[in-house]
Amino acid sequence: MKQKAYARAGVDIDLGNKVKSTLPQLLAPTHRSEVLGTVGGFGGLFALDVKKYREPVLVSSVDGVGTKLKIAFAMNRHDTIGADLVNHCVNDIAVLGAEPLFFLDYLGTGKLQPHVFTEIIKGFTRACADNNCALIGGETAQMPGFYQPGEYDVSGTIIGVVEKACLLDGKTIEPDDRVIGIASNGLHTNGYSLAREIFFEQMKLKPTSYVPELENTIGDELLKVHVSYGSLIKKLLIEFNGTGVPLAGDDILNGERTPKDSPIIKGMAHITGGGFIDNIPRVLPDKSHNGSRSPYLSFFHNISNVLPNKCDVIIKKGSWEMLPIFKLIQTKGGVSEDELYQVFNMGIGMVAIVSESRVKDILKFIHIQKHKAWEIGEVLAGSGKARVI
Amino acid sequence: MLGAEPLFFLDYLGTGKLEPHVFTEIIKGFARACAENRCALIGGETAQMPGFYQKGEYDVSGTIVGVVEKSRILNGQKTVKRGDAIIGIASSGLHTNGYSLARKIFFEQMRLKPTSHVPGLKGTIGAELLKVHISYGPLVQKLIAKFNVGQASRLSPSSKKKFRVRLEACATVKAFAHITGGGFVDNIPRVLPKNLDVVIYKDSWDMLPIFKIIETRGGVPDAELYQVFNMGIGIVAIVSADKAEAILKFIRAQKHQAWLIGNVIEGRGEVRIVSIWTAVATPKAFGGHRFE
Repeated sequence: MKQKAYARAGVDIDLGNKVKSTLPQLLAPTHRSEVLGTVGGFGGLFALDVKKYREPVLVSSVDGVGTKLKIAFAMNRHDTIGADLVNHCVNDIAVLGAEPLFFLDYLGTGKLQPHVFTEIIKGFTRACADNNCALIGGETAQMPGFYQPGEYDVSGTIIGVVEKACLLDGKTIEPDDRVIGIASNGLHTNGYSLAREIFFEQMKLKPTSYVPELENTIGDELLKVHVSYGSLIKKLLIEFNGTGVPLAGDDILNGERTPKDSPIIKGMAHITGGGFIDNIPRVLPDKSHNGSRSPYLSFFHNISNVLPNKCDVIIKKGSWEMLPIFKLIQTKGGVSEDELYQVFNMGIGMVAIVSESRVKDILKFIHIQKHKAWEIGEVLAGSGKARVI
Repeated sequence: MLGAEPLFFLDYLGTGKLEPHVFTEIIKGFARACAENRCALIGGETAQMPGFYQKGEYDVSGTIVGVVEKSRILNGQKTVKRGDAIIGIASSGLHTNGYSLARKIFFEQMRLKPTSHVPGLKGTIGAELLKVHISYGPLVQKLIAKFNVGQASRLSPSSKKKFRVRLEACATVKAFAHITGGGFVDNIPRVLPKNLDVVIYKDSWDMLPIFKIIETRGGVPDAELYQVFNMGIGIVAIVSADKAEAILKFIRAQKHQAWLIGNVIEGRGEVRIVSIWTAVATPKAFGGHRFE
């Protein structure tokens, strides 16, 4: 058959449709009972069961995976990137106390290769299923001339929900609280442009090079999937804050399961681009900035700013086990420590700011959930900053 | 297209090196349209990815979340009937589909530059191709309020369940299809029952000059043009034939151009695009309903 003009111009609608026809089967494992309709409608339909909540708040986040994609291209492995993206998004909303509802992906590419497309989608679906998140929509853009042959970009958006009273907002963080760090398994999805320069340009490694210190090839090490802390955080909040479980009406009336006024776990931060220094302050209390525009209220806020009610977080280097990949970056990279701690997670994927009295219990609980965790710092009176010492 | 209205939007911007003024312009575009559609822009990600994009180039994507009362979800696969009318509502141009082919026609075959003036078009070809994709959101909301919900509420339902049944039964605006990539042929079946076809009559609406140029200069068969471009129709509404005139009048009063461009006949869930002449020659194709 004669090739169509649009296909000659670089966009093959028939090929796109053919590839899309495999979607229902691929998406099936991510199904949730709230999902209405089938693949192919103009919008994904998700009937949130609002009766499970007193005041449901939708929490959303969008992200990409950055230049980790270059490693996937070099390794010709396309089924992990989607999982990186989903897990990243799950973590971003989990730190607010929210659990995932649904996810939508975007895939921008030059020419669509059916088997690569399938691999990419498999990464999304596996992680969505693992996180009990419905994959209800996506867009695959064929854009000739935008991407190098065989390359693509992905982004994704997650929508989750949290009971308003259970929103983790860090408001109650105060001096003497402790910082617990939960282990990452590597770079997750940040710092890849710098890491690629160090490993592939300075050290002249190839993705397939075996690195004895890593007991792994550098490519495999760099493709390790971003850890999802979603289920761990949910369990932590149920166990220590009495929240995170849907609040049935009776329970509220009886005073059971009502979120405590002074939660044990007070705030969490996902350690992504910007490291401890940029991410932790996002959850520190800042009384001068609570969205109020009222001059009457801001008068009192200005007074309160003078009072020592802001906090700093101190992170103590060396208080956790350094992953080999970060040791390698430290010794071979020739990059100042300050910068390393702002570009990479340095082995800590998530931090929790918790009441000092329960630190041991929380650490024990996290260990039972098969995550490594350490007490890595504390909260002091200060000006809303995080410092690594 | 489902009857939902926007709640919030999140954008993604992938780029090589971030140029602050370009970034600001891009975000302004998002913010302006979000404001016009009463949609909160509550999140975004700007990815700096050296080596992915050409200098000065970027890619954008976005996610919208909206809400619809479950009983008011438009479900054409249940409600569309033989004899229903197809109303086409005007687009402003290509909207956001078919640009790879259009660029080939205008910039390679016709050797135009984005700043070139083309007889028949008011502005330059670049300005023409950058015309903003029309939002039909407010129009669709008004149509549903006027012709579906308004009708149903007058029945004063005794229970929610009955209300839903009645709402579906008396929905005069039964479905919408947004005509994007894939044109009429791929988009209308998404809201069509499996045992019905839609016939679209070419030349039953005013063809925009940009599509006339593509038709005459592109050297692309009509069948493909109608699968790549919206051909001047940005959305179609499938409506009860007896209310079609009233709905057309209402849409026009909202300052949108609209035409009766087809109807629903028995079939297999497909779309057929025919010229009016063909249609007149084979009256059977109308499923017993005369096309006006």
